[in-house]
Amino acid sequence: MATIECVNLNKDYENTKAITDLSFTIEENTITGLIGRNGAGKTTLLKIIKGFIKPTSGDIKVFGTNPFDCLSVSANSFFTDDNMEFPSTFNLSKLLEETSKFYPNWDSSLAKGLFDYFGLNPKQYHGNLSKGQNSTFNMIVALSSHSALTIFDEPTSGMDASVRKDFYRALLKDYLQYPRTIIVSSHMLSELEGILENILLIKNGTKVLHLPVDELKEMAIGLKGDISSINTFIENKAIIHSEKNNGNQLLVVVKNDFSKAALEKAKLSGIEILPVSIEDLCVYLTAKSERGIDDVFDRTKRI
Amino acid sequence: MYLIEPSVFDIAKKQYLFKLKTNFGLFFSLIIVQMFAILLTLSGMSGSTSTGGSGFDITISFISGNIVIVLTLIWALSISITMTSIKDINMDFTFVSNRLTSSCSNIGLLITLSFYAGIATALSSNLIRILYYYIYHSKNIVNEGFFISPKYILMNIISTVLYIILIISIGYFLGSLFQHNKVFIILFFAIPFGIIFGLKLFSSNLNGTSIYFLTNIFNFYFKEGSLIIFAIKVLITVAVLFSIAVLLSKRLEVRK
Repeated sequence: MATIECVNLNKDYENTKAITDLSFTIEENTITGLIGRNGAGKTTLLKIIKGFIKPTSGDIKVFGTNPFDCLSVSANSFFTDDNMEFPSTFNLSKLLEETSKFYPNWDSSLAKGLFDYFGLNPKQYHGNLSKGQNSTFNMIVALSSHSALTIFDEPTSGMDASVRKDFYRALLKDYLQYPRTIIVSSHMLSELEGILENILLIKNGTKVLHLPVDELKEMAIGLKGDISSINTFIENKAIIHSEKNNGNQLLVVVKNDFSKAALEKAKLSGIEILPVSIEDLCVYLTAKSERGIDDVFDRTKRI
Repeated sequence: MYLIEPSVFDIAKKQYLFKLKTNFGLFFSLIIVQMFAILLTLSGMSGSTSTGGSGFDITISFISGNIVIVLTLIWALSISITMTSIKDINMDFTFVSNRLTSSCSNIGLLITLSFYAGIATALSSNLIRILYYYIYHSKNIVNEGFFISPKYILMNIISTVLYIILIISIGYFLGSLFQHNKVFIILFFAIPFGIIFGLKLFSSNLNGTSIYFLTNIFNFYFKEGSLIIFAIKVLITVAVLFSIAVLLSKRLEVRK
């Protein structure tokens, strides 16, 4: 059964279109990474899925029903981000206790274990937590709720490298023990790709691709060599990204649908064949314009 | 993973108990408000008349719990408006919630606070009597109406609770209106000014019918002689106001 079905979804704010004609389906018990640049519409999409805000048009179904103002979607999902409001009158241990009452699947031993492991002070108040501790606490609550749909919106913001690593591991281990549908939106794709099964890449509110991570890894290759030989090799092919290195060296990223023989031939003509990481590929696919950051600093082009 | 089937009543009850704990400070705030009001009352802020003659001076002070009631009603209005703040609503949506359970638990909390405040207010008049008795000595107190029967205290409690619930429903309704569209905040302050100016300009033409209309509304609630009819009037008004507030909240987007 599909956990989330989304057809031609649109969301307009007063002056901007946050989401435009977005359609996708997320299957039950998968971990999906929602990837996109700042302002691509990730948070808006996640809030529509959770039922916080209403889409302007289009159709969305979570667990088969419209999530807006739906109690059963609310009870079966958990949304976590930086801006969660917690009561200021409870300390952290009391807060965990009170939160647990709302979630029948609450795993209190997991909550306690993670809480102690990350060294949070049970007597502290949520408002006094640092940015990283805030994210850590929210992550503990989200994981322990064992909700059928768990949404992490930028879960690692403010976390240091070792906490991030531990978080990914905790997420994966808990997911394996209690399979459920998880969506993670993040910029840290290189760290995250190890635990993701699918990637939903969006740009300006529209879907760029929605593929399993393994397919995405194979999707593109980088070719590096002098301009003329590259250009003859890739003629008529859509270029995902190109980058001029010093002199007449050119690096292009293209879709990998070459035959093995063709690639062998390219190697012989002096073209270097490079793998393209998912993170780089996603950056290239969601690039704002043809120009790169280098062009901004290239004074000869600035007139 | 199986899906949970929550009931509205069950979630609203959980939220109600949760809010009872998180809003414990409101119970204390009323104690402070009423202590302040009692101090004002005892320091002679209530009405008094003085007459003097040759060789004697008479001061008659009327002690009433009106200041306590007025301040309590202001307290009730302010807490009910703030309960609809977007921050509080967002907090509900950190956990399991929909608009209906969020409103129901708010209303439940406000009604609980109304009973608490109503009982406290009604009993404060007894406290004022006792304090007055000890501070100003018994001989100067006119006995009539000083001792009140339990039946009268009970009626006092019921009517005070009803007044507070009425005010709270008005506050909650206004708060929901403001939350629905900020334009209503401006309208809320503009309309009374408009009415006052309008009446000033056209009062000669209207022969005071508008003022008559307003006093009619006021008298409808506040000059009712029968407790039962008063209770029915209040409860119907409260039900209508709360229902509109719930309907307004249904369309509200949260966590924007």
